[in-house]
Amino acid sequence: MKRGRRDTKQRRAATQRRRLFLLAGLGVLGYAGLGLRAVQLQALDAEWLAARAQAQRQGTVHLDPLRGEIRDRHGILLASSASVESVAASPRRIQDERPTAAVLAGTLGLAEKPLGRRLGSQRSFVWVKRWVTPEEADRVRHLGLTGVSLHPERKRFYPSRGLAAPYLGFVGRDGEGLAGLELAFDGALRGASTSLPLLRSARGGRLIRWEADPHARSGARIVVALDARLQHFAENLLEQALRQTRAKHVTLVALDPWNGDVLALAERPSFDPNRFWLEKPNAFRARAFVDAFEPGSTLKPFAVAAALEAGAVRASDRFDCEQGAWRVADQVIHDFKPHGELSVREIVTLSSNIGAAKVAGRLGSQRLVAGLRKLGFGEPTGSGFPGESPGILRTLREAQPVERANLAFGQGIAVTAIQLAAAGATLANGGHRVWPRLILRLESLGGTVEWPSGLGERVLSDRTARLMREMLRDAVARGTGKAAALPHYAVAGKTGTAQKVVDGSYSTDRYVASFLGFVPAHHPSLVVVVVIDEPQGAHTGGRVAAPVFRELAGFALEQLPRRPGGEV
Amino acid sequence: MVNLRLQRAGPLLRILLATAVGISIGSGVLVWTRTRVVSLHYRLTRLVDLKSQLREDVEKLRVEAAALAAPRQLEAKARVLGLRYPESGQVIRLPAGDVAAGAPE
Repeated sequence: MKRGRRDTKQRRAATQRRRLFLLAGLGVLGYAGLGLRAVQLQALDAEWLAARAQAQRQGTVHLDPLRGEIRDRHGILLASSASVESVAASPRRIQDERPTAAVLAGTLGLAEKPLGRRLGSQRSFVWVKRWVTPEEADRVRHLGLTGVSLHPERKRFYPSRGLAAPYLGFVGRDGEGLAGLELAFDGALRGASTSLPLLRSARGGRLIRWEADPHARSGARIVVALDARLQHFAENLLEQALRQTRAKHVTLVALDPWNGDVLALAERPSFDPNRFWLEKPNAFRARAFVDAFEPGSTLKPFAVAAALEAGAVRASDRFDCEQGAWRVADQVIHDFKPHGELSVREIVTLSSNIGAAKVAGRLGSQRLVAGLRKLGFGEPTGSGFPGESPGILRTLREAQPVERANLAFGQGIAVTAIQLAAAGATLANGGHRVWPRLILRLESLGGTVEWPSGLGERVLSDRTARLMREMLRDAVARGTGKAAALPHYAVAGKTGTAQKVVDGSYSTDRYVASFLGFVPAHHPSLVVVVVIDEPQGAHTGGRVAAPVFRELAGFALEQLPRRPGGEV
Repeated sequence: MVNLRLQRAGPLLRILLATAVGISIGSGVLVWTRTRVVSLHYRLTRLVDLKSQLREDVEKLRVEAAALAAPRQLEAKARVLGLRYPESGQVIRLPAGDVAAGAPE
């Protein structure tokens, strides 16, 4: 009996042991299989599988860089970019284009028929309206139309609207600078595009690898030399001047003569760069840089300065001004008012054409042209502004007395407003050439690049520059520029009234009135050029341009904080 | 009872079972950490998107603030309030130091 029980127990134990070994064996086989498969996946086929997995999981996402801001010298934001939405459609996905076009046209204020034609095409993608307002985007979103989608895009904003518009320029729909500083510094402002590695999950979700910061390659911030408050005041003045004179255009340039900083650069008419596509291309011209004009008498101080510098005349030398009419070869030169004998100082003060022509005659054609070239006429100012005109200054032979005489009082030469202001700054700062400085610095994550001062080499002696400042102060105190005088500051300046050339001859009813001035006369901190193209009615520089200068100079000296560079 | 059986099964079986348990636990930890990494990755992506969205909002607000503080806008508001530019001579500049000298200590 006992033996039978023991046998049964032994059989059961043996069965259990066999089962355990079988289970363990299966486990070992299973793990061995897994191990072999792991070896196959991780070692034998690893390279091929890794490449396949990477292709399935990885992609790239293209990120446009953030375009850099533009700020004025005091930090006022002039241009910045922000995200807006654009409406697009996939015509192939639209069953019936007519109702879709009708709804979209009503929502976005578009013409229904042209939109219907675009939606009826067989294209896979068409823009419906770019840069829509947030309200329009919300309305389109709520419509939930099949085949219509919203896409984020970047848009350039100019918060001060038209402030300094021709100078700042604008940016096209695809983010490229098209005019002004936006074009000149497009490379620096734009930055570099970034492609980020993208991981996709099995469900199609995206996982951007956040290690790469898209901001690391954004465009640089540009700090311009412009003073937004002075610019705004100048634009208001020009608006008023345009209304009063009914001129074609008015232009104003204000420079710091000690470093060439372009503090204001105003044009009227102008445009709103936020809506540049609605403007005529002619409105985009930064006339101060790209339009050259015959300056008339505002050039006389420079011809006289060249003669004084060369030692051809002295300030006290006297010339017979022929009572207002003087024949040079086959041409008769006239003065606005007849004068007898005048000193060089009086020739500038009273703006005698005959006197200036005689001074130039003493200097000679070649030295006159050379003297004007030294002051920057006949070549771009080096500002770097796109499309800047060099003006026109022809080489003259000594045997060209008529051309020399004309050049002495600003005919037969074309200058830009910025050239005139830079040359005026040379007289103001004691004789140093001035290179207009548009921007103060470029700031990027890589560091800051400071723009060098625009104060260049000496081109006139201090004595000549001082004499010219005195003469120009007299021109405002007692001469043609009385309307530029300020009650609390001595002003130096020169008026200009040039006949325009129409069909090859000088017009008797179309003029360019100008004024070049600086304040305070003894140690100037501001040089201003005002140009009024074709004023109606009163048309002389003294009547229409000098008052604009007076208002701007008064505002700048009395109401703006003093700049460290420009002493008053 | 089981321990008794394992003791009887011998050391080889014990090693095999311990290895199996170890591998199972290791695999579980590995899977858990991988799942955690992916879920954190998703969360980070959402946060990156949010950061980007907030940055865009900041850019828009900055433009709006600049538009409201633009000289033209300020001047228009000032005129509505009856303010105007001072006349010539109304602005008097004190030399630096004069204000400090008269200021109470």
